[in-house]
Amino acid sequence: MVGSYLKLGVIGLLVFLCGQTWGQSGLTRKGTVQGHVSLKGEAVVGASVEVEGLKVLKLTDQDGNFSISEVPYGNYEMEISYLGAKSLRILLAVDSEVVRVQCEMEIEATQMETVTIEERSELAQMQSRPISINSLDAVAVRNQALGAEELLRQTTGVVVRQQGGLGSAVNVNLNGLNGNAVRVYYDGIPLEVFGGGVQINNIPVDVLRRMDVYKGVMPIDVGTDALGGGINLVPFHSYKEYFRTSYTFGSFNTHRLTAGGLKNLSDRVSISGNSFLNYSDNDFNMRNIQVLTERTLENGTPVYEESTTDIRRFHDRHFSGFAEGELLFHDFKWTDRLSLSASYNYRHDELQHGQQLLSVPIGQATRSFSTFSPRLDYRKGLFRDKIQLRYFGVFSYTRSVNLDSTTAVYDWNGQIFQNITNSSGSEISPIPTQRVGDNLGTAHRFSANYQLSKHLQVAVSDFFRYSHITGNDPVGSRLNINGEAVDPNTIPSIIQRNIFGAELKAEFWKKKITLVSFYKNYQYSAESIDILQRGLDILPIRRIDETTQGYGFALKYQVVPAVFVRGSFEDATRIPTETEIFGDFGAIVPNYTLLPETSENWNVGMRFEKGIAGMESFFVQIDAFVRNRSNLIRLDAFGPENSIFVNEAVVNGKGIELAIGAEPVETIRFTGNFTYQSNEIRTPQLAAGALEGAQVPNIPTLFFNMGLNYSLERIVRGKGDLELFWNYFFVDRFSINEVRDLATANPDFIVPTQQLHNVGLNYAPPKTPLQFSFTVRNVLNSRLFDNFRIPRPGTNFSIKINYSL
Amino acid sequence: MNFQPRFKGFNHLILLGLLCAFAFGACKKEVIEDDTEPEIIRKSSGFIVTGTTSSGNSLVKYFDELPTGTVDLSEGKDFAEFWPTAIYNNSIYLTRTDKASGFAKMYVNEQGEIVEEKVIPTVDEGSFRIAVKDAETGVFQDRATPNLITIFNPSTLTIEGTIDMSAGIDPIDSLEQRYQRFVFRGDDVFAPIRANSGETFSGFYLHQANLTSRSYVGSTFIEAPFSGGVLTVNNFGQGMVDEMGNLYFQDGGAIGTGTFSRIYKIPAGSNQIDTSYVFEPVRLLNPGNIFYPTMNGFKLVGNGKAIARVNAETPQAAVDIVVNAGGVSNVIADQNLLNQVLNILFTAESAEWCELDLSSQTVTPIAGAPKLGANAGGGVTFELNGEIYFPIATVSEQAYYKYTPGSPSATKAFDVVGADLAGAYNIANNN
Repeated sequence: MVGSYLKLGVIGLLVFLCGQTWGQSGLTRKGTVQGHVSLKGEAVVGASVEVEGLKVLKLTDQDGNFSISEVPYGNYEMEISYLGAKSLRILLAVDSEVVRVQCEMEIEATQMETVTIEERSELAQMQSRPISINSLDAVAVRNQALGAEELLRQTTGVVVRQQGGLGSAVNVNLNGLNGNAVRVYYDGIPLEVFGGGVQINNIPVDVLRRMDVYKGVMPIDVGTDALGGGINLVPFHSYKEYFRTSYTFGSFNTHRLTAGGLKNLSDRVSISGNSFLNYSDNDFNMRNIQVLTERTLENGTPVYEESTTDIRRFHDRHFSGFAEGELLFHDFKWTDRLSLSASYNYRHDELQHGQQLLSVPIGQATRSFSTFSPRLDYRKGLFRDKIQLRYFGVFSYTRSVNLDSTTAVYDWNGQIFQNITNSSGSEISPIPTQRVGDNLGTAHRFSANYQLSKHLQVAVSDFFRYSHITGNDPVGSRLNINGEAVDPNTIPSIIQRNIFGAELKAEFWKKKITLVSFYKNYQYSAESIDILQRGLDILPIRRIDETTQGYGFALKYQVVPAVFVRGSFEDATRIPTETEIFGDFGAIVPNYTLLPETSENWNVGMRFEKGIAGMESFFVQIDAFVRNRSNLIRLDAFGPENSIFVNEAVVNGKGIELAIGAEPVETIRFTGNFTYQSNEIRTPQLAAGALEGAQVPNIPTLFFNMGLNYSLERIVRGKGDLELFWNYFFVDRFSINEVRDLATANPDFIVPTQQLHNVGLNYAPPKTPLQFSFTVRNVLNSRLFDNFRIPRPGTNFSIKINYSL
Repeated sequence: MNFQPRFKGFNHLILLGLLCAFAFGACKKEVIEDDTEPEIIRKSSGFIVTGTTSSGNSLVKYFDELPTGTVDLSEGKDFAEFWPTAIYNNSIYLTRTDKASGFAKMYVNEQGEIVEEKVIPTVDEGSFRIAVKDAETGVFQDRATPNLITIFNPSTLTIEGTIDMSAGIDPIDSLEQRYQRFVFRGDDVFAPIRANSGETFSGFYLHQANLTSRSYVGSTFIEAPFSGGVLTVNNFGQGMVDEMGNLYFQDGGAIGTGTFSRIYKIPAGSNQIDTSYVFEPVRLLNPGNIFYPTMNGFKLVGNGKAIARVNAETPQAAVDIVVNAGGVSNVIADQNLLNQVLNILFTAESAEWCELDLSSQTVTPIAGAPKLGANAGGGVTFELNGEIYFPIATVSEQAYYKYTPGSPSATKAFDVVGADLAGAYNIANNN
């Protein structure tokens, strides 16, 4: 019922906005000056624009645009100023109804400050959008030895947990939503298109420009089906020539190498590259682990005894590499920007354990992926940029290899038990496997943005994805089709998704109010073999086709230049995965009637940002959110032997977030992020007896982090710059069981309070392209845990050397 | 001038050293070498009620007396799982409650808290069956060694030895077995098997071993009717041998094949299934129920009688789907229809607790208790003062009912809320 009212509301809103805009489109005898301010090709937000003699001062909006109406015909001098840029003075002749100006500013800063200024402009633009978004500056921490997942932890509402060290399976929890509910994108492309070789915890910050964390509401030009929001990893781009490389080495024999650069072939054609290599033994020590040892009794009986001790991981090596080359054309008549690129990534992981740590580790199973992916990205503005077009298309071919077929059983010392063999013949898979999989995929997005009037903008976006999955497994299970043994992997599975979105954006009251409403249409189909069928003469292929809708809106009110409030809503959808629909060809049976998960996501918040007397700058942002999820997909028992994914659970989530940043003086920067959230289970399995009101297990409810940076310029007789930093993370205790009251919960299943201190320094010697960074993580050697209480490393260090031209 | 402070510091150091020496010396003297384990004081009576949450973990609550009224499991102690398979001398034997590989021995302490006493680790995390014969002998299977039955001492939880079962019948050569249950008769243990990887065999097969000689004894089986995909013999405790020494097992029947759940009998003094004993309770109640003729919760209650949850009724909604589809073959060919039919069969409240007379082979529904789903939660029954308590879990109530054997009319004992009912146990009863 609520959903129906909201739908009606959104439709009404669309009609209202159109009416409002057309009503405003009158003509005037005076002219209007419209302009765009950029700094090194990027839009500048908050630049002041002043026309002499008119006593008019305007600030550029989040797209870098400004508009001054009611300007009498005549000649004027216009001044544009922005912090960190040289003031720009332009002679302006207003002799028509609309005069458009393009203002390219120049940086007034040292080389080291250049990037920061660019980033601030872009970050401010992202942070001030009507939808709830946190934009994280990757460039500012580029010199530190950080992975993308470590940067992601330094914001509100996000919990990142892994199954081990560098490159291990990773789970991102965003405002209480986990797993498939949170989508991750690389440059707007769903990360899964890269085939599993690239994931959020093997990407170094060096290759990124920023990370955009969309909370609950996804814009149509980025989002796909994301129940709880998404994270877009925005790679570093520049039109300026550069070369940068870094090498990091650290504990656990960890080595990370990055290299990237751009070379201009002409003023409008350039080539660039971006790459990284990661290697780690991940052999960190884990405390108080239950381990199994073998002993033989006098009568010859082998017995297995358990003890609790500290052990070192031994089969968890990770190697990954990524390389991307790009040919870039820009500022041609036929394109504003055309990028032709191709990337290759490879990844190989030893597996130490499954989701949980057991007394018997995995000693042989491995997994690897390799993906080749050519990509085209085309952007063009038409009719004086009133229409902005963008298309990207990517093809990908991924080969995956899962090797898990041994009868050996390992102990935590890495030795094979002598008196026992693994009867199942596999360590982590239910049955032995040597599967080689081939995934041929493609993804395309077309988006168009049309500026209907100075106050109204309409946009459409269409995202299409297709995957064709096949493979072979010489030791896997076989189907009996007409008496012939058939490898089910050889029968293709096909997944196809099309997500269309339309968005209307309007601005009122001198752009103090921004209103966005959008509609999304999700169409998906999947085709796979149905191996549970019996007695058929043909291969039983099943196909499903479904369509569903989503919608939302966002409202922002710029109260004063330093303060805005905003709220947003999305009726979000997550399309079921292939396994959820088709089962696992084993104990999980298919469910072709499975519905998408839905969530009513609400956000409301305010931000205050200003330089305060005595302070260089200060901001505080307070947000609250609601995530009412329904039709959540979960595995349920199906008869006495099987299980099936069903739509059942309802979870009501809510929380508050607080982010603070301050630069009391030029050399000190402080940040703090606080999150409190609750995720209550509301639907019983049986009407008579459910545990209503319990928290969804294994999700922290309270966590915060703080960071302090202290910069010392020209230390030691005016030579070299030094930056000291400290980061502190706190996660309050939580249970991995579903319980109503943590105070009375079984302490054996409570993850205790965790406190992590990281400290480090960056040093930039004078007159050299080198920079050095030294980081010590977990300086107090605290006990920390990843997903399901898997221990995280104790005190460890990294040293990073940066070289840039 | 500087000497004095240094001298004073030196004195302090000496004093500190003497204090430390005294302190450590005193401490050393107080250390008492005592290898004896502290005596465990455990509750010798009482009841445990268990339930599961939507996330799969268990909630467990102990009561000194049989609960009345409503049990709220949301106030219970949470474990990752809590599925007892045996109780002996007031101790509970079960797979480990933190989902680690192996088995645990739990007890209820003086404060009424359920605590772990010891564990037996296994190599295979899927090992699930442990049983106790008496205070000195228990068995389990580590599924990493499928051809071995391991003997342990239930008091100390020490391993005593193993029985090599590799000579046992192997219905499919390439598949090793797992033991679904261990049932003791005298010094022998009988164990029905299925494939370790989960497949069901085309018949009902048991291995037999002798605990004294620690040797394999033999195998017995019946090829037809086959047990199909619903082999439900993994329930709690013993309760399979009558006063004469006759041993009873049941299988679960099969879905949609007209293969009814059957009770098998190994007569006293024999090691072989008596193929002339044919007792199919579902067929007796409703010979037309070919859709899902299953039964579970089978347990002897004395005087040649047993209790079981018998799924006799065929839900009309499932029949309608099949008729409208034009027959079973059309339903099987359409996974959506098949899922609909199976979902109705699995959830329809078409089963009822019945008393079975194993001699006369009669089935008497227990009056006064509502019908429930064939696979409804909570299959555990227990005895108190000659009355049998059995679970009811429907969409409208969760409760334990009780009845007196021989007089199959039930009344409600207590309700359960706060979790999905999983079981209730009388810790005074050996099982």
